[in-house]
Amino acid sequence: MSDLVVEARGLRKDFGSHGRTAVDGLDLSVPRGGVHGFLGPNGSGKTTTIRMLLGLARSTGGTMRLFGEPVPERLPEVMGRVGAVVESPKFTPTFSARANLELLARAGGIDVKRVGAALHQVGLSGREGDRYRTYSLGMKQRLAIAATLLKDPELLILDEPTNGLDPAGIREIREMIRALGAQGVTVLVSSHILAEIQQVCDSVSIIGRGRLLAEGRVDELVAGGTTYRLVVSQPERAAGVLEDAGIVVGREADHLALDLGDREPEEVARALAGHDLWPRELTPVRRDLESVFLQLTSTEPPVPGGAA
Amino acid sequence: MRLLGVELTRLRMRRAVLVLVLVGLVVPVLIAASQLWNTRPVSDGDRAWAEQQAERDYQDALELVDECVEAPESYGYGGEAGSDEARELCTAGLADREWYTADNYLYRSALDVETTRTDAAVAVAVVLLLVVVLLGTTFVGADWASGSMSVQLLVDPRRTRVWVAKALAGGIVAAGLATVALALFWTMVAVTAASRGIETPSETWGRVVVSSVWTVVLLVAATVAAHALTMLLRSTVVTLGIVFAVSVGSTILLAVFGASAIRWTLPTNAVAVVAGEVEYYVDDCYSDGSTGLVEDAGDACLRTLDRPEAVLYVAVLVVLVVALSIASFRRRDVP
Repeated sequence: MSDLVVEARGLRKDFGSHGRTAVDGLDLSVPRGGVHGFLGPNGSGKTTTIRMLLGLARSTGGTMRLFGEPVPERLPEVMGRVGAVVESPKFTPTFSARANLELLARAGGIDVKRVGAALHQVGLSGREGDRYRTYSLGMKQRLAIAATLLKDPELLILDEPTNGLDPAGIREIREMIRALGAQGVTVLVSSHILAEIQQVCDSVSIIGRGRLLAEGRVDELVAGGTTYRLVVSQPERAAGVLEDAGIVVGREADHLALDLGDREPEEVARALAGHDLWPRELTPVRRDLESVFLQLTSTEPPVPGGAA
Repeated sequence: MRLLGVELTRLRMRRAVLVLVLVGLVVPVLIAASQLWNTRPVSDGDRAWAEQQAERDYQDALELVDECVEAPESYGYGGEAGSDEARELCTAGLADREWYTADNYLYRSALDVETTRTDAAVAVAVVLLLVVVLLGTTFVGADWASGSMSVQLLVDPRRTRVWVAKALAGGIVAAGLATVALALFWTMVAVTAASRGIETPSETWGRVVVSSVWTVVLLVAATVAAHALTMLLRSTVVTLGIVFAVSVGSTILLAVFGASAIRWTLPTNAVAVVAGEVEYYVDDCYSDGSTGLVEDAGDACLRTLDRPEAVLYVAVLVVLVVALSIASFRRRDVP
C-alpha cells in the first residue's frame, strides 16, 4: 500500500484550446495521517486541483492517485473513503439539514442512523429540521463538514473551510480539523490564511500559478531562517558596508533585511561602527509560514482572473 | 436501484413537483368536465329556449320580408314592388319557415367517444406534456441552480448512473401521473356515456386504450428529453427558452418551407403519436408547379402523417438529445 494518500504528477488543467492554464504540471504528495496544508495565493490553482482529484473537473494532463489508485478511473472505488467540501457548501435550499444529509447517506449506501451522529458532531442537532436556506454561513459550513463525516472518511479534503466564518467559527473548525488529524484521518486543507494553516498543519504544499513551489513539514520549512531587521540613518551606505563585509542584505522600504548565515549580530554592529554608522534598531525576525509563503510567491505575478 | 430510490424521494420532496402533479391531475378532470357539459343531452328547457329563439328570429325575418316586398331590387330579388310575386320571392329568400325550427337552434352535438379521443384527449395530452416538461426541467434544474449536483457527485461519482437515476425518476413520475390523469379522464367519459345511454363500439374503446398508451409513452419520452436538455444546458430557464424556440421554430419552418413543412414540426408529430394520425395539405402537388393552397384541391394535396412515422421522428430526436446530454455530462466539469 502506498504511503501517499494523495499523489499528483505533472497535473495540468487548461481551460479551452487557447485558454489560460490554471494548473501547470503540478506535483503533489500528501502522506498518510496528520493535517496537510495546501497553500497558494488566490488564483493559484488550489480549488481546480482539488476538483480534479475529486472528479468534478477533468485534467488535461498528468496523473493523479488517491490511496494509490489512479483517478478518475478508479474514483468510484475510493470515493467511499474520501470526504470533501469544495468551495462554499452546496445543498438543496428548500430541504432541511437532516433531509439533505439523509439523501446523501442513502445515495452513498451509508446507514442513515449516522446522520444524527454527524449532525451532533458539528453541533447542529438542535437545528437539523430547519431548512438549509435559513442557515447562517457558519452553519452551512458545519453542515458541509457533517456531510463529509457521514462516510467516516480516511481522507478529508477541505477547501477554504473557514471562509466567511467569525472568529469563534474559525476556532471551532480549526479544533475539529486538529481532532480529526489526531484520530488518524488524513486531512488536506486548502487555505490562504497562513496563521490558520501553521496552527493546525503538520506539513504543507505551497503552489503558485499552478506549480509546486515548496513542500515539506512546517517545522522544516520555517527552520533555520532567522533574519535581522536593521534600521539605520543612511541605509544605502550601510548596505554597501555590510555587503563588503560579506553579509547578504535585502533592501526593504523602511529597513534593511540581513541574512547573517553563521555570523553573530555583533559583527554587524562592529562593521557599521567602523564607518561611523550607528544602528537605531537591530532585531531578529524569526521566519514563519507567512514569510516563507510570501518569499516563495512574491516572484509569482498574480494570474489575471485565475482559477481559485 | 439505490440511486433511483433517492431520486424518487428527492422528487417527492420538491414542492414545485407536487404543484405540477396536482395541475396534471386537476386540468384533465376540468377538460373532461367541460367536454361532458358541452355534449350534455338537450333538456326541455333547452328546447323551449330554442323554440322561443326560432320564433323571435322568424318574426324578425317576416318584418324584413315586408321591407323587401317594398323594394325587392335592393335585396336582389325580382318582381314589381308590392306585388305578390315580390312577396313570394322575398319570403322564399329571407323567411323560409323550415329554417326557423327549434332543431336548428340546438347546436350541441352528443357525446362521442371517438371525437373525444381525437379532440379533448389530445388537449389533455398537450396539458400533460407541458406539465411533464416543466417537471423534467425543474427537477434537475434545481440541482444545477443550487450547486448540489457537485455534492451528489462527491457521494457517487459515477456520472452516467446519476444521470440515468434522475431520468428514470422523472420518467416514472411522468408515467404515473399520465396514467392516473388519463384514467380519470376516460372514466368520467365512460361513466357519462353509459349514463346517457350512448353505445360505443368496442373497437372505439380499443383505439382509446392504444391512444392512451402512446400518450403515456410520449409523456415519458418528453420528461426524459426535458431532463436531458436541462442536464446539457444546466439551466431550467435556458431549457424552457429552447422549448419555446422550438415552438416558434415550427412557425418559421412553415413560413420558409411552406405548408408541407408541417410534417416536420414537433407539435404535429406529437399529436400524431397521440391521435394516431394527422392529416395535412401540401402545397407542391400541382403538375403546373404552382404553389399555395387551392380551394377544393381535394385529396390530391392531402397527406397523412401516421403514428409509426411520428414515433420514429420523436424517438430519433429524444435519442439524439439523450446521447448528447450523457456524453456532455460525462465529460464536462461540474461547478
